[in-house]
Amino acid sequence: MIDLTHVEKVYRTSTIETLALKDINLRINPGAFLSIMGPSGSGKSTLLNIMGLLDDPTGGQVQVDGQQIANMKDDEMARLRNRRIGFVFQSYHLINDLTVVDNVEMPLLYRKSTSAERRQKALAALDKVGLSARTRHFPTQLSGGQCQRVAIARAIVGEPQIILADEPTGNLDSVMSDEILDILMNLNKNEGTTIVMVTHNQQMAEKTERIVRLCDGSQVD
Amino acid sequence: MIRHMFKLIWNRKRRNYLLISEIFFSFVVLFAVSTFALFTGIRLSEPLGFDYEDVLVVQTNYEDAQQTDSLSEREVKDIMATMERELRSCREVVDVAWGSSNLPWAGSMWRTSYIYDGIERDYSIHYVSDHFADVMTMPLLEGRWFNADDDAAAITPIVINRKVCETTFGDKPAIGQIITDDDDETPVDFVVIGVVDEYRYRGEMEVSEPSIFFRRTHEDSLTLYAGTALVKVRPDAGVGFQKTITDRLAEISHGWIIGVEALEDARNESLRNIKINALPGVIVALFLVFNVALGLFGILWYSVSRRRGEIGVRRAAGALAAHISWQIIGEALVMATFAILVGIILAIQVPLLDIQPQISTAIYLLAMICSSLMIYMIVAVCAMYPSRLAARIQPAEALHDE
Ligand SMILES: Nc1ncnc2c1ncn2[C@@H]1O[C@H](COP(=O)(O)OP(=O)(O)O)[C@@H](O)[C@H]1O
Ligand SMILES: [Mg+2]
Repeated sequence: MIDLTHVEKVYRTSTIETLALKDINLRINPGAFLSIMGPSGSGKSTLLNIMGLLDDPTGGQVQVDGQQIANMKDDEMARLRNRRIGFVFQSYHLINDLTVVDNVEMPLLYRKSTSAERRQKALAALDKVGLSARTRHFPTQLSGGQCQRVAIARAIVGEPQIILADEPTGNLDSVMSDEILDILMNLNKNEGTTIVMVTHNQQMAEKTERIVRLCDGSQVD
Repeated sequence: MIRHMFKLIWNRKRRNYLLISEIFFSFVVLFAVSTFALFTGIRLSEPLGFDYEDVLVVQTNYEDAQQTDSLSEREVKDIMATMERELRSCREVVDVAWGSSNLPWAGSMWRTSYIYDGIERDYSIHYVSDHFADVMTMPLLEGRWFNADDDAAAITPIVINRKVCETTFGDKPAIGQIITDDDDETPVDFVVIGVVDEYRYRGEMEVSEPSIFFRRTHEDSLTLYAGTALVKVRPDAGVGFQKTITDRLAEISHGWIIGVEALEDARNESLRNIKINALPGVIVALFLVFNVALGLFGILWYSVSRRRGEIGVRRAAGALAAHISWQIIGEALVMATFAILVGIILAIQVPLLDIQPQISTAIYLLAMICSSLMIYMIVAVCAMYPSRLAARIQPAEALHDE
């Protein structure tokens, strides 16, 4: 499903060069639930972005669904993201000027769909995360846990095979964190969605099938 | 997608309020300017009803001369007749006519009200001689111009312009209609003997008004206040001829003050004045619109930098770079649409309340369309660069910011 071989990422600015990832080899099978752990600045987000085609590696190869992304154009990668990948971020990244249901519909705007289809799929996704009662609210009227559930609904509305979650519970207390983890685990179990989750929480990581540990851009396990 | 943008703008209306009201303000300014421009353009392109080329206006101001008191009415009439003979004897002169002081571009008006069918209306009055229509190249639509037969007329003959037919007679045939002046104790009737098309004697900037021509000869007492000659000259007459006339007529009249000016020069001067008067308005309008465009550009630019996170998350969700740039332009156009809608609601009041009856509703509508298109264009141009910036935002970086 996702295949990384000898992946390397160097950030170059005029003054410094940061080696954010070095020689990452990782194979993620369909239906897997994987945690990425590591100290701050160890390259976890960078790795997730490369898996999610948001960023290009400076070395090595990335395959998603058997497709080499090295030669892909920007637009092709965007289409692939739209169909295959859902993102969840620590700070939710909801659009505050849109209602919950409009936020969830957003990814569907970038593929062929009617407004009735979009609405119906968004409501179904919100139902899965248990937020059917809040569809007309604005993000600012919701708690952090609810915001993250909206973000998950947005990530799954397009029925992607892969969800990439970058510290999805980083801003949440333990009760809300457990709720979010439950939702992700259910998606993995019931829908067979592949999930890669960055976390600092050892207990949460242990509930997933596999833990990848990063330190200074290298895999350490 | 368009609905999505409307929702975004609508939910952000409080933040966009200032920008939308600025666009609205520009719309109002552009509407005023384009109404004026269209109105002017149409007036400029419409016929005057006469020909001003190769016509000299000769003022014979005997009243200013010292000998005024010593001249009898008879002597004045004779001097004028002599002047006409002298003018006609010049090789350069094609024809000569006389008129009252409210000649084209003279800057003077003469209005009186007369009665037709029990209704009193205002008319512009012109005392002119038998050759006036020839000198001014004014074709008759119906009937005839004045001639010597009118010496024996039982009812005072008048020639009218088409505007009088429209305002006074409606569908009725104009020739033979009687208009009455009942200012004095005994009412006086006038009979229509001819119709000319237009007579926009105040120039291209003024609309047509109902005009009535009365006949003036050297023999009637009107001569005393209709002492301006119109001289049609050959195209090759040259500027020097004006001086020749001035000198000769001064000699004949024994010191009357003679002023000669080409009608075309009078026209050009009046147009020049109009341009000079319109210039500040146009500059202020351009300045305002330029300011709004600059403000718009700045706000859009700022909003793109503030919305990096949103743009990043859209890109992550699969938006193409083109989607992002169209969204920025589209949102600006949606804001313009809100502003234009409010602007049109206001602008539509002008024809509804008939604030300027001279300007037709069609001109207002056209001006609304023009100013809307201009606003859309300005807004699209201002949004162009910010939209490119937005499209170039790298999602990984944008999402990293937070
Ligand atoms: N856009 C960037 N430009 C330069 N350096 C970056 C950029 N993004 C991340 N880095 C650097 O790469 C390293 C890894 O960052 P990141 O993947 O965000 O770590 P983590 O998510 O594990 O905290 C850090 O040293 C960070 O400073
Ligand atoms: Mg990180």
